[in-house]
Amino acid sequence: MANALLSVRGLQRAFGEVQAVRDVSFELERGQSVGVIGANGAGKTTMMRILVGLDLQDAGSICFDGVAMEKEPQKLRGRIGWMPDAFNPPANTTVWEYVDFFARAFGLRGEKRDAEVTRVLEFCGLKELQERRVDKLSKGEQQRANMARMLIGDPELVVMDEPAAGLDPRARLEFKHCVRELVRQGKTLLISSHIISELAEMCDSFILMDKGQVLRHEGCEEMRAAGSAAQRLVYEFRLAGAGAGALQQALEALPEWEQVELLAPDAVRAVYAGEPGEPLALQLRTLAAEHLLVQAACRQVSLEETVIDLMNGHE
Amino acid sequence: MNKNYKDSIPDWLPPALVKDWRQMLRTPLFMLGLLALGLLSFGFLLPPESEVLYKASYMPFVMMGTVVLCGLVPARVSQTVEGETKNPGTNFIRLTPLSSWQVVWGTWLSGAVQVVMLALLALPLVMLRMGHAPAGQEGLHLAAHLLLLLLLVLQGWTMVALAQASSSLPMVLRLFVFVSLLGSICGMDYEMVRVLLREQVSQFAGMYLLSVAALGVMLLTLLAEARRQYAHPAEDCVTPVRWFSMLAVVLYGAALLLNQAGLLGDYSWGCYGWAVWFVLGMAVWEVLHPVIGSHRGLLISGKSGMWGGVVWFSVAVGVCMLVGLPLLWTAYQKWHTLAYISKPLPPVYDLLTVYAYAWLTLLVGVLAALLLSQIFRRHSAGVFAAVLMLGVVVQGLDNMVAGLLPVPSWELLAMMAHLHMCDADRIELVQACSVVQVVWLVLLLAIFRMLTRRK
Repeated sequence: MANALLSVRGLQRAFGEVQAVRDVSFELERGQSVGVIGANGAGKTTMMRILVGLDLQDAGSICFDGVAMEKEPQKLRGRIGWMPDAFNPPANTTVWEYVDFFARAFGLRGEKRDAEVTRVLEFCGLKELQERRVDKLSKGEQQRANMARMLIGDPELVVMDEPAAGLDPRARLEFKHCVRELVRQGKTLLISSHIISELAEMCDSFILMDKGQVLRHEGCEEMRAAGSAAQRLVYEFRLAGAGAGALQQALEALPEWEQVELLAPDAVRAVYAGEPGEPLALQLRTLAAEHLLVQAACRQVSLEETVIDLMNGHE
Repeated sequence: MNKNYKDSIPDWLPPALVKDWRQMLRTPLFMLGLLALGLLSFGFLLPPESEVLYKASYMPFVMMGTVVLCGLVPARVSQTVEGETKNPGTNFIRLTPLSSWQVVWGTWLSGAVQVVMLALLALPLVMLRMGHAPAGQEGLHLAAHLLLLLLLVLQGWTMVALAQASSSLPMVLRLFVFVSLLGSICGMDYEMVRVLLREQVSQFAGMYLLSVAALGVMLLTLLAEARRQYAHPAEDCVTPVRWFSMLAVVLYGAALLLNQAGLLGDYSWGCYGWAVWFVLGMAVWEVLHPVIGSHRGLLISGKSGMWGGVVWFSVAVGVCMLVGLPLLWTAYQKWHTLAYISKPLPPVYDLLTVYAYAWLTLLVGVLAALLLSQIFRRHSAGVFAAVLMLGVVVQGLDNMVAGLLPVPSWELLAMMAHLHMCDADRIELVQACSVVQVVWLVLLLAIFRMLTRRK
């Protein structure tokens, strides 16, 4: 990428015997919003902590806007924003004071500082709560205060590690609105979450990690259409009587059908991985006739299922 | 826009100071404490009738000042920093353009301002007391008392720095470090006051060196803290720490040379005390850093491991012994200056024997503790913590200076030699006490090892 803001090469990090990050390489363009997905323990948080400068890699390099992080970390202070999933709010501190401290830390003085604090508080919808103590806010409000803190100094890259974890639906929605606004403003974003469908609404590409490695780095649609999951359809068959066992055996005998699962004495779920169209229609007609099917509900494989499939494929 | 906040605190103040200041001013306990201490200090205004009581009554005031300035304020700073370290607050600060030194400096300044503020409470008291001497008695020397107050402030500042650095240690270990240091400072204050009352301000050189030495320790500690807590993992802050440690060693060397020339007299105890604490502090750190976690050693690479630390510690003890020898000789020659020892001089070889014994006790104790800790490491932390707390209470109340860390301070050493030489009936008692000290030290270090081992 010619316009790469962040370039990561061969990143490695081990904690004793555990290799948390292994040979991770990718690049981020300016204005790109990238979701980081993977199971717990995949190495997402470790990688992010290294990217923002809170941990040091054992091997590999990170180049941010032409600056090597491991050589000149001081030059990058303040240019990368970091937001973890939660934080213990400071005691006896109002929202304004909390954000104001970071504005001071960024060297903002006088009117400029006040303007910046006001800007981020308004952006995060906290202006009305500015005189409330941070430790008295709800979890969702605290996370917005956390975001306001992160946005002080207008960082070029924003790194968020499961920022909406533990939030109720309303807080999650408000938070998503803020993130979308950041995307709209053209911020470069790296955000991890276990709710992939939500990420898909905010990000234009994904990094899929597993066991410390980057399995894929591609757009949402590319990932959805990746590999064997491309044309897959999930069917749930319901029979007139208790004959699901025979249907299960019949489906397992057909090479196009995978992951055949007995749901109930009269219900079977299976994934069709073959050619759609006439071959599928023919098979469905045959199955309906032989096993007295009363219903065959079909849906596309979800993004989550695709990701799980990709991870399983990697294993 | 919130005008109240906007105009409240000037822009030029360090951000870390502003943050702590705001939090402090909103803590009712702090404000009440300030008021209570101010009122309490005026109790010392009442001059007793006799000269003895007049002079003696000043001691509780000094001790209270020491406990407040060197104990309570640093403890509060330590608590604040600990709270910050436990949550990602420290991480957030590390990502701002503030340098690690600015962060640590600001936090330290917050504690230092509190120390000054509390010390200023005593200023009117000192001034008033000057003019209220008992009939026929000369008022206490103003300069001496102001100097003492300054010394307390300086020690308070150093303790704040040490408190910052120890904030990430386990609570029990931190308590131990605190009580030990506070004990040593109280003991030094006692010596200072004693000399000040007797000789007033006659020897500024010792005070000056002691002050600079304290500043050296303070800066060194803050630098180490900055590197450990707030620097990017890739930043190398070892070099400046080395420079400061070398500077401090040179200063102590100068103090020793001046002492050799007979310029410092009793003040050399204080200088030497700082030298001992300084070198031993670094040595203990070297021993502990591999087991505390990922922290690097202060002067040597973390790669040397625990046994590397033990070797360094042994070398440090050896150096301390050698450096202390000339001072021992000077003290021997000035035996009579120790007011509380009126007995004749002991033979030199007896004094040297006690001296070597005291140091070897320390060395053997540390080595034995490390070995013992390997055996005890799987035992319950609670049992050892309870033993430690009991020891802290008993020993701390009894004698904080010689109780927890059997550093062969001159006072202790002189008393041991004195007893050994002049009071044969009590030799067994001294020996028994020494054995108890060794066992106690072994137990303490075993607890260190257990509490700080890698999880």
